Formats: sequence, structure tokens, C-alpha cells
Amino acid sequence: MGWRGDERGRKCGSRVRNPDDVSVKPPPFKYARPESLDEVLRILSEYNGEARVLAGGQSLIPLLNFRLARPQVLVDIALVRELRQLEVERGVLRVGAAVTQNTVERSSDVARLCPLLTKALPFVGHVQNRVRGTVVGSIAHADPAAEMPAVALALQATMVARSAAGVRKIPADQFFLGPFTTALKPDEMLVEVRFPTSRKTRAAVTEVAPRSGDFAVAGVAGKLVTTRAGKARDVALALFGVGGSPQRLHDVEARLAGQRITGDLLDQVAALASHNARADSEDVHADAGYRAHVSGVLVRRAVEEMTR
Amino acid sequence: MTSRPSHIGANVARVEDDRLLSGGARFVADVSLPGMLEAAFYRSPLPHALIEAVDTDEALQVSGVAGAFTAEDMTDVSPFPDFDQRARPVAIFPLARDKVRYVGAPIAVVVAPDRYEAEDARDLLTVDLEPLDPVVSVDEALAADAPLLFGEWPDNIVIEAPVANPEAMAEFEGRVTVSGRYEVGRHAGVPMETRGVAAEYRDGRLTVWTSTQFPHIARTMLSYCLPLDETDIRVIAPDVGGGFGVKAEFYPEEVTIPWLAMRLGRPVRWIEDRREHLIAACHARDLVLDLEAAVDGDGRFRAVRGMAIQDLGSAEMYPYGFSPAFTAVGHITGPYRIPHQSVGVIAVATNKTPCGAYRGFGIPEAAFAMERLMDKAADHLGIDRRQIRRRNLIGPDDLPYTTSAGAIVDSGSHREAFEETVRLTSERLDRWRARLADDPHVRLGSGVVNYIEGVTPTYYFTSGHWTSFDSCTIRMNPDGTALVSVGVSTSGQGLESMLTSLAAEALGVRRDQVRVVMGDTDRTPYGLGSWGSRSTNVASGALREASSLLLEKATRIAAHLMEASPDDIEVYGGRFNVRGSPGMSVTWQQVATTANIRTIDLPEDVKPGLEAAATYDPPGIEHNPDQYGRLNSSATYTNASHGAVVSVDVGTGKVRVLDYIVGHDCGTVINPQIVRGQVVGGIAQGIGGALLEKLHYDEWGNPLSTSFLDYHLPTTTEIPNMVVRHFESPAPAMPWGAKGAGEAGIIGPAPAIAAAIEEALSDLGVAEITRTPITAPDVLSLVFSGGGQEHPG
Amino acid sequence: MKPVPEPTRRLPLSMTVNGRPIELMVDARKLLADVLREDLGLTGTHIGCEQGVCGACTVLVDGRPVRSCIMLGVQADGCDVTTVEGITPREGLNPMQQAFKDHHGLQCGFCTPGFLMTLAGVTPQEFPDEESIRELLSGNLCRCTGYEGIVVAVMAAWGRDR
Repeated sequence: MGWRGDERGRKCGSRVRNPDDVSVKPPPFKYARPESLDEVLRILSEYNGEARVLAGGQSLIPLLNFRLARPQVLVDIALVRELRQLEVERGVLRVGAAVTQNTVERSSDVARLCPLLTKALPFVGHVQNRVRGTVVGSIAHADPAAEMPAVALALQATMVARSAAGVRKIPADQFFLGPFTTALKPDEMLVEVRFPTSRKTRAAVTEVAPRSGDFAVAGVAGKLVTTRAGKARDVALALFGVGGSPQRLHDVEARLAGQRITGDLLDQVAALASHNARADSEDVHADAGYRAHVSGVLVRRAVEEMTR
Repeated sequence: MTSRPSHIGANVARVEDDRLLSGGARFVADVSLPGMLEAAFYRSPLPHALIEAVDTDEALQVSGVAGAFTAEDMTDVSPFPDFDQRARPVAIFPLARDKVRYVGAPIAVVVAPDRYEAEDARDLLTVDLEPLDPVVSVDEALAADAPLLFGEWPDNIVIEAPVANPEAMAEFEGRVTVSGRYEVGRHAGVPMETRGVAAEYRDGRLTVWTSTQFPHIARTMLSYCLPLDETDIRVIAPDVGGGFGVKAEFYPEEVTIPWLAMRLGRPVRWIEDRREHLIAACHARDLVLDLEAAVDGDGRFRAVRGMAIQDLGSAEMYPYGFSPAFTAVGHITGPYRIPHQSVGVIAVATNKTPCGAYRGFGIPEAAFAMERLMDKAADHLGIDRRQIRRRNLIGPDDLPYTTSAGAIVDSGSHREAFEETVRLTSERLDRWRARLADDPHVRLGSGVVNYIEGVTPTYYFTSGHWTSFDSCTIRMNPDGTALVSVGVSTSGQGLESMLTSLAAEALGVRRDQVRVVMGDTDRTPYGLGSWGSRSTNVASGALREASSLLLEKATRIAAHLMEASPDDIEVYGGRFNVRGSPGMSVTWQQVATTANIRTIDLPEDVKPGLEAAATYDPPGIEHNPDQYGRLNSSATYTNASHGAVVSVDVGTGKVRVLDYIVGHDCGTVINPQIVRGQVVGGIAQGIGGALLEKLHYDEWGNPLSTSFLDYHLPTTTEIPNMVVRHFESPAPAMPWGAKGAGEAGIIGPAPAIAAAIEEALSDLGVAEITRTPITAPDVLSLVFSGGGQEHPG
Repeated sequence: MKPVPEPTRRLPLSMTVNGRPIELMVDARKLLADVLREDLGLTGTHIGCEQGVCGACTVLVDGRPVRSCIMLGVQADGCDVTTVEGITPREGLNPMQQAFKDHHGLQCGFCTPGFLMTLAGVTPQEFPDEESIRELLSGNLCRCTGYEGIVVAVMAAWGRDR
């Protein structure tokens, strides 16, 4: 949708095809449901960029319905056993591409070892979405207003990408390149996300959304550890909904590190967060200025919650 | 009469629920006929453009495609007739001819075996459009060099009706004045079921299923547009999944789909998708009330003057989109004793989706402006906001009271409802203050507002054509069951249940002996449908009249069967009883069998059959205003007071409605549960309009709220529980004393919530709230306007 | 669920719907909601937005509530699907349906099957109070009732104090 004249009311070229996003039924495509990852990767490679992976479909199918995506092939990974792992191995939580958000949300291991994930998941859509939607799919989709990419960034997760050519491990801070844009290549798929775990970490998610279940206008996913002396360490804070990608607030984290959390310090970090937030998202719900301001408020509340 | 049990005032289960709960209901999308095709529309992607050419060749190559059509193909179709003498004529054609004036205007239609294939073919249409400068706001539309939407007009004004009432003007001399410009944003009814039309043409007859609030009007309009007699058209409104006024408009697609069925000789169906709904079903509100009031030092309002300024969108909507502006003016003084008014209307065309009806129909806009102005006057004069209302509210001694707009308020509980609402609101606010005392982020406030709503209004003012009556026929079957058919039709309000109760009441039968039929022009008498909170009033009027005709005849038959005098017969419990002779009675079944089958037992002067028809035109309604715009537009007037308790998060601007209190008076309550459902549902929509819902456009005229991700309906978590207190001031002239309740709830939330937010932030000295929706960023700006936020948090 | 090793446009779909085994050929692109409504005539499942927001199309897949407008029919291969027709007893209504009727939890009824299916697919014990019930239902839009009757009905059906 959308037409914007170069100068008001005058637009070059007026012969229009059907504009995008006016449909509600998917365009024709071919569908495959292989049993092995190798088969999935083979099809991705064969259709080089014209095939899309279908996991929960909670983001992809709306795009198909609106015909904003017109892949030749959908590769359903529902039968791929090796993508269904959810396990902790050597201090790392490994979430496979076919694991649903609901499964992760209900896992007591995850709640204990990776509480930020558990805290963030209830904010993702509604229960009907989480029953089918996957954690990895949400990260690969890279919606700037989604919680999962920010969680991956705050936890410094490792993205495991596979293609017929081999494996790549991509750190979260190199993965998100912009709205709906990641470091994945056309024939690659995100097969797994590895989250570091910790028993001591406190976590918080604070966000402003017009209604519950909505994408956030602004949000913060954070974690920290409070030392026995009452000081903060291992602080990580990631904003979402504010700019085109989730963003770490390194300066704010540095200001908090090693400090006892006081009201004055919270005032300072809130102001710093508002100042440093790269707020370039603007839509009908809020302008950039609002998003920047609220980023500070939400950072303050997240840190308060984690140190209460 | 005897003290028999009454159906009035009882909570009885709805007769429509079982089919709706079990998946057995039939909505338009469920209409499926052999060989049926599905249609997809090509809609304008540009807000303002000339249509140069439409190339359908490639689309027609897609296998299975039955056709692709444009306005050029519809040579046997007439545009909607224009009935209104006041406004400039706007020709509405089912598919756009020559020019498009909003994004979403239908240009072409493609028909294929299913929607998937229809969309495949639509993808292959190529449309040449020559863009024109768009006009996106009232100011742009009124600019001297504005591009013109309608080339034959000198400007973009659809209707201008200034009022200069000298009596009102005189009140401004030497008095305190307060003024404001109050804007209710563009939003819409947005029922959960979108629009939809299915049509079949066979044996020279056209059958049209459409999700409409007025099947008979739709049939008449179809006969005006298509080369068919009215008797050859049958319009069926099946189960309708919410209307809210959106479906009380007659739409281009309601002509195009039947035309396609005729042209192709196969049934055709079109189900509107949500994006289409948000750009092609009518929008509403988008009204500015620019007002000034003359006020005495003690807060008594003496007069109000100003203009209602409406952004109509492209104005291609029938019934006319400007009617709510006039209704707003007709309700501007609310339940207040304000002797004079002088408020005019101007409505202009812009390159946006045309505006039409939405629940409340101008009255929410009026209440927002007047209640905000009242708060402003109170603050200005240093009078408590509740107190200033007490000084202006009409009381029992004032009734009947003729408002400065000409409305004759015959009954009501204006002061009583207000005092109860004030009391309950304060109580709730105190409770929340205690409960949230420890929350450092929020501040609490409350607001209480009042309004009246004209119900059962004239339709002449809105349609330029139809007036105000409705009808009912009752047929007693030989077994004593009754088939009641009415000209109104339901869109989910529970009318079937309501009329079942009233028919049982009037005929003295059990509810399960009554079957109500509506929404089918072949099976029901002519009527104007359901809108304007009219159905209970008009249908019950016609039903009562038909019942009494029927009872008169049935009583004579019963008397004859028992050899008693008709004067001694009483009807209750499904029987005709002889007064004073216990045990002497005959049943409805005996009477109906006699009338229909054993006619040899009829009295000599009584003809066979047991059926009655009646119409009802509510008394007192005026159809044309006087020179100052005054008229008694409605059969009666409800009143209500609303109280909102809100919390405001001063860090994020988020507003939560914590409690909502209503003192509501719609006269005699026939079914308390249904009335409560109407009120509560209306309030929920009102809260949506106050805080969430807006149909945004960018500066180029592109719609930005085209899905449920951008157009936010309230969910369970935004709507609080509500306290509803019913007051019952029966309408003296209405059947059973009832007043319509369909629209009332939606009127109060915007001003009540605005007042509550201001109260919550009052110690910050914030600016006035003059616009809806009031979003979190708006509230945060308010906080900053008061300097309340030095640092975030 | 049977494997589909090679990309295909039209393929067999076998599933159980309301306890009945179903076998049919469908286009890969056909949405589950349309398969249920058009191919199987189960029109109690309603379509309100076609992007997974409004919840009117909610059905159960293997016992859990999902949005059938953003799920392909072929994704339900081998699954157990339940629609509102499937939770309705042959005679009368089930307890939740009856509670909706008793407490005026519906008006136009278009959204109602979606609410009922969401409720049918969760464990009531996980929603002990009004707040959690409201949160659960926030993924289903209703435009008529203001939600009050719905929430009251659920509280009553699940025996919660109000």
C-alpha cells in the first residue's frame, strides 16, 4: 500500500498493477515437508532465494495472505526431528527452529536458567500465536517491535545458520541488520539459537504497547546480576520497537556496572537511555520523540524491577 | 387486567443464542449455492485520480475466470438517485466512473470460482490512473486554490447551513464567554463481521443476501439502480455480525454483485476482507465543534453558538454522511437548560473514505464538545465541575422541556441519574486511591458527564426520502402458534428475543409459541430497518397495534365458542377466559383452528383467517427544521450520566480505565440483561474511540490504518467492569413506555475519560484535552505541558 | 503427518475433524479456515481479519487453540482438529456455551465460536482469577458485548468467585 508523490500530487508513471498488500489469500506456491534437515537445505539451495522456511507461520502466513511475500516454495520444518531440541548443554540453552514459543514459555528449565526468555514470551502475541509460533522463527523474522530479537541481543545469543554449504555461527550483535533484515543468506536458515544461561541472573521486560499482545511501541529486555555487596554486574539492556533493529544500550550498562542502584543513578541512566536511544521508528501509534522518552522510563523501571 | 405474569422487565434467555453458540448461524459468508462464483474488487490505490484505462485482457486469460468488469460494462445500471435538496448532488455509481476520490474506491471487479483465483486474476489487471492533487483536510479543502473533487462545483463544500439566531447572539452581550474547538477523530463501527453480498438470479427474480441493517431500503435502492421491478427482488439479511451503523448505508457492492449474478447467470458472492472494510466501508465522526458559550457568573449557561465542521471524505455515501453533523447540533445542549443556540453546519469533501453512520450518530461528538466546554467554564469560573452541572441540569419540574435545538424532552431522570453516578464514581475513586496508593507511576482521576439521546428519529432528515414508520404482521397458525414478521431487522442486539417477549405479552401466549421473522423482504412487511435506537419503539408500536386487531377478532371467536359476551373475555396464559366464570376458557389453538380450519364454527359476521397487519408511525416527530435548524427530530429522549475513574501513568502516558459507572434511563426496561448488554457494549466502543481508535491518513491521502494491527479495537484488558444503574422514566407516548437503548452507551466515554485524565493531572496545571483519541503520546505531551516531568521515570 | 519430500502445489490432506477422519486433496495455499468452511461445510469457524489478530477463526489443533486463518490446511495433516460444531452436544449446549447464554456473553455471535474454542483449548486451573481470564481472552476481539458478559460467563462456568 501507499503512494507517495515526489512532489505533492504529481507522480511519474501512473500505470499501476495491483498494489501490494490488497489480498487476503496466499498466491500459489509449492509446498514440501521433508523429514530431514539436509532435505530442507537442499530445497533452499535448489530454489536459491525463492524458497521460504515455514515454521509456526505466525508472521509468514499473514505476509502470504497479503501477498507481500510470493515465494515459489514453502518448506515446512514440522517433521524435522533435529530442529525440535530444547536442551541445556554445557551452560547453553539450545532452542531448535521448530520449538514453539509455548513450549519454551512452559519449560521450568528455561525459567530457572534463562529467565529473560520466560519473562518475555507472554508479551509475544496471544496464546493462539504462541501455540504455533517459534522462538527461532520470531528471531529470524526480525520484526523491529518484537521481543524475541531483543532478548537474543540482550543475552548475547549465538545464531546457528545452516545451508547446504555448511554452518555459520553469528553473534546476535551482528545478526540484526534492519527492519525484517538479518545476516542470513538467501539459501541459509536459522536452525538454532543458543542462549547463555545463568542461575544468578535477574531479568525484566518492560514495554509500552497500545493493548496487551500488541507489538511494542517501545520496550526493554534486560538482565543483570546483583552482587552480594548489592552492586550490579553483567548488565545487559536491549531496546525494541524504538528503531529499525533491537539495540543494546552499552553506555547505560557501563554506567550501571559495579554500582549500587540508587534513585539518583536511576535518574541518570533513564536520561542517558532516552538520549542514546536511536529512535527512528515512527508510525500512527507514536513518533520518535515519544519512543525515545519512554525508552528511558522503561529502562529505569526494568532496572528497578531487577534490583528490587 | 388481571395480575398475570409479565414478560416485561424479565431477564429471559435469548432465542437466537443456541444457533450462534453452536456454529449453526448463517451469515452471508455461509451462503453457498451450486456454481457460485466469488468476486474480488480492484480498488483505487490513489486518493485522487482520473481513470484513463483498465486493461483486463491478461486477467481474463487465467483459467476459470468468469469475467472482469468496469463501469463501462454497467450500461444498464443507474447511479444512486439523489434525494436531498439541501446538499450538492453527489452521483454514486457502483464502480467508479472516470474518477476516483479515495483510496479504496472500487474501479473493477474480477469473478472466479473462488477468492484465491479471483485474487490471482486481479493481480493481472493493469489500470491507468492519472493522479490529481489530493485534498486531505478541511483546511485544504476550503483553501482558495484547492483541487476540486467534483469538477462541476465551485468549491469542495457539500453542504453549508449557517445559523444566525438573534436571540442566541443577544445573550453574548455583557456575559462571560468560554470557547473551544473540540474534535472527535475519524473512526468507525468496525463490526466483527465485515460486509458481504451474495446474489442469485433465476426465473427472472433476483435474490440478494446482504449484511445490512435495512433490507427493505436495500431492495428499493436496488430497484432504482437495476432494471428490475421491486417485486422481482428479494433481499435477505441473514444473521448479521454487528452493524453499528456501518451497515445502515447502501453500498456500491450491493449493486455490483447482484448485477454480476444477472450478467453471468450464476450466483456470485463477495465477502469484504478487513482491509477493504477499513478503507471502503463508511468511516465516521471526523467532526469539529467550534463553540462559544455565554455564561452567567454563577455558571449558568445562557447560549451557545458556533459551527459543526465535518470532514466528509469523498461524500460518496448514501444515506448522507453529513447527517451526524446536524444530529450533533440537535443535541448540542444536552440535558442542560440552555435557552438559546445558534450552531451551523459545514461539511466538506476530501480525498478520504466517505463518512457515514456509526452508533451515536453525532451525539458523541456533541457530548464531547458540550461536556468539555462545561468543564472549561467551571474551571474558568472557579466552580466545581460537578456543581456547574447541577446548576444547568433540567429537573423534574422542567419537563416536558424543549431544548434550544427544538427537542421535546418529555421524561427523564436527569438529576437523579447524575447524583447517583457522582456518588458511585467518588466511591470508586476512593477505593482505587487506597488500592493504588503505593504505585509511584500513576495518578488517579475521575470525570462525570451527562447527555440525552434522541431515539427513534426521523429518517427524512438523513435520507431525504424515507420518513419514520415501521410495520408488523401477525399470523396465528391453526395450532395457536404465532408468526410475527416485522420490518426492522437484527444485527445482533437481541431483537428477536425482545419482540418474542412483546408478542407473548400482547397476545397472552407463551414465548415458545411465538416465532419472529425479520430480515427478508419476501416474508416481512415494508419497514426501514434497525438504526437510530428505533427498533424497540417502532416494532413494538406496530406489534401492539397488530396484536390488538388480532385479539379483537380472536375474542369474538372465543366468545362465540363459549357463548359468552366478548366484553367478558380476558386473555392470559394462552387462553381466552370468561371473567367471573373460573374454568370457562378456550385456548388460542381452539380459536385459531376455528378461524383457519373449522370455519363452520365461526360467528356469522366473522370472516375466516386470523392474521393482522399494522403500521406504526411514532407521534411527535418533525421531519423538517425551522430557519434556525430547530426540530423535534426524535420520538423520545433517553438520558444518562457516565462516570469514569482512570489512572494515568505519568512516565508513559498510558491511561487505564479502572471503573466505569453509568446511571442510565431508557424508560421501561423490557429485558434488563439485553439493555445492560447494549449499554456496556456501547461504552466499550466509546472507550475505544476515546483512547485507541483512529483511521489515520498521511499527508498524501494514503490510509495508514488498514489492518487490525494499526486500527486498535479494545480487548478484554482495556475494558473495565461496569456499574450500571437503571432508572426508569417511561416515555409517555411510546408503547410500553420504552425508549431505544441501542446507542446510548457510546456517547459518554470520551468526555468522561477526558475529564478524568485532566483531574488526574490537575496538580500539574496541564492543558485542556480537546481531541480524541487521547493516546499515550498525547497524554505525555499534556504532562509536559504542565512541566510535570523534569526527568524520565 | 506424512512427509512431502518434493515441492508440490496440490496434495492430499488427511486429518481428523470433530472426531471424523477426513481425506481430501487441497491446494497447498489453502488456509485451514477455508478448508473447514468451504470443503467441509463447517461454517461455525468465522473469518474476521485474515491476519491472525481477531481470533474469530480459532479452532483446536491437537487440543490447543490456533488461528486457522494463518495456518495452511496442509499443516494440519495428521492432526486432530476441533471446531465449534465439534464441542456442541447433539442436544443442547455444553457448560461453557450454556454459561455464555445464561450471562449474555454474546450479541451478534460472530466472534463467539472463537472465544469458545480458545476456552476449550486451555486448562482452566491456569486461569484462577478474573485478571488471568481477561489476559487469556485478550486475543479474541468482540465488538458487541464490551466483554463483560463473556468474562462473567467464564467465571461462572469455571466456578470462580466474582
